[in-house]
Amino acid sequence: MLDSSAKILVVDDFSTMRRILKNMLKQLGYENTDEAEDGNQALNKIKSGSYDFIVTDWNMPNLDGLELCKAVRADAATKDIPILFVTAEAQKENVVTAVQAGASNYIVKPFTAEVLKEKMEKIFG
Amino acid sequence: MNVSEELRSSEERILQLVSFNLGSEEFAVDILKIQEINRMTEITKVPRSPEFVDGVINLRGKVIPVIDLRKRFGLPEQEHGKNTRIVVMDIQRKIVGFVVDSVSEVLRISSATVEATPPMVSGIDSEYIRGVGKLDDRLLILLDVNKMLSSGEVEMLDGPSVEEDIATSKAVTTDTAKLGNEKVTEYRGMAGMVEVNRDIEKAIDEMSSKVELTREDLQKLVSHVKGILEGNFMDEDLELYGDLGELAKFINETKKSLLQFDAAEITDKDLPEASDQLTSIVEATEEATNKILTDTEELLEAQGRIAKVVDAVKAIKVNKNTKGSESRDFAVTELKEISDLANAKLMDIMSACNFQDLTGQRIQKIIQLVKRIESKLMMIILSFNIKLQEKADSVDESKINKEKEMLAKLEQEELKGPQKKGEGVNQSDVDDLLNDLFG
Repeated sequence: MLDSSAKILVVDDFSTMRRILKNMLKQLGYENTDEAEDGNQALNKIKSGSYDFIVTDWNMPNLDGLELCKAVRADAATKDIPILFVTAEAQKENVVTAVQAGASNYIVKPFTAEVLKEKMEKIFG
Repeated sequence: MNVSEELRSSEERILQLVSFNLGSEEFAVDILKIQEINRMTEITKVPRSPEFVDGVINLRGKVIPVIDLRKRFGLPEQEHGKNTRIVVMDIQRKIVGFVVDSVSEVLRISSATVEATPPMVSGIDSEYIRGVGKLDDRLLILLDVNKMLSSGEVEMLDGPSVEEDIATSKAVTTDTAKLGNEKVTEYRGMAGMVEVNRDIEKAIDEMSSKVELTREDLQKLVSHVKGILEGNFMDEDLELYGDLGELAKFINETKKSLLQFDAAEITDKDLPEASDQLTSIVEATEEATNKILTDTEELLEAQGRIAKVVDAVKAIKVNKNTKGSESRDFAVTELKEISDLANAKLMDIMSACNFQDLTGQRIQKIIQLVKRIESKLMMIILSFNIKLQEKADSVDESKINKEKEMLAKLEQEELKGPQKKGEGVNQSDVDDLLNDLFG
């Protein structure tokens, strides 16, 4: 499992959702979290700081989660950072598209802390 | 010379124009060049964009360059007000928005009343001007849309081309139709009337060449139909002939029902108010959710303290086999159970706060639909020559801008957003799919 000192970036355009995710991560023992409100902001942070894990929404203004994911995967310096989608987009095609873009796993909103924990265990073994 | 020859000989055409104001001058452009008319929205400055472009707006996902027409025409700049509109036009196959002081109405004027341009019209370079139209005591400056930008300037623009726009419009129309309620259907029916107007003009042309009518009959008919098109209502007992008469009656009825329906009031007041209300709902739920989250976080912090209390109670030294020992063990067990339960429930409350994000997204989609209806309805009202009575009670501009910002979040058409119960897939479906995908 991911080390509890791991630096995690939470990306969502809704402030309440960022807060929920950060709280859930805190409950799972991860307090070193940071947040971004869209893909552009996230990408700037990812390029300047070393993150161990990215949790992102899909539908966001400016740069969406899918484009963010592609950009992270395209950069040699960041391509291996695990990316977990947490999104309301619940069509099968959405899941396929996200995985093809390099998503490590996929959670459909609304979700619980257990689902988040389970997905993180899957990603980090 | 018979009637039809006489009618045809004058090379008179009816120009259908949309008029707008800049300062004290009234301008007009061909209605067919106008894509849509929108309320003022925030114009984003773009670094390294051509100097003549003031910025861009986001129109349902399309980024469109915007040019302040006052600046373009060398008129003094003026603060934008509640009547300020962005007229989106097709300039040499590029979609461009022009900021004007206000949009007034759709006009039909005869090409015969248009005169060549005097070299200077109130300081505006005559290269943009197609002619000057006279309408009673009004002087209308007809703009040549294609000359409003030079071809060099058009090339510098990054905006979507008309072809892309048509594709988007098709998608938008399909989407609107799908989402449409009774009213949308109604509006679409009315939109068809613009086509009907054109058909009537064609019919007048054809009739004048084919039908054997007396000169008097035909002139009467033409003047009635023109009257209806230009804004008058038909007398109830008027007799009109054949298909043309039927069409004229149909238009007359539609105009009347548009007035009864109070379309101008709905476009100008009710729809913006509906958007405001919906925006308020999103804000209110966000505020409430944040309050719940703050309280939940505080209680979770308190949970940490209970764990320490449990440790402290455990450490209390008591003699074995005494009542004190039993009490201590009971306290430890109970405290731990209560603490675990509270912890689990607090996390459930936290999860339940998911609703704010999901309802927020749905409401934003509805706001977007309301905005689309507003824009379409405004075009219909203009086409039917119903004067837009700007109400004195102004709409709060900052609120409108906020809505537009929120709308910008929703532009991605291919994303469906939160699924309704029984639609889309649930987490276990997603997991099955993920298992397949990851092998």
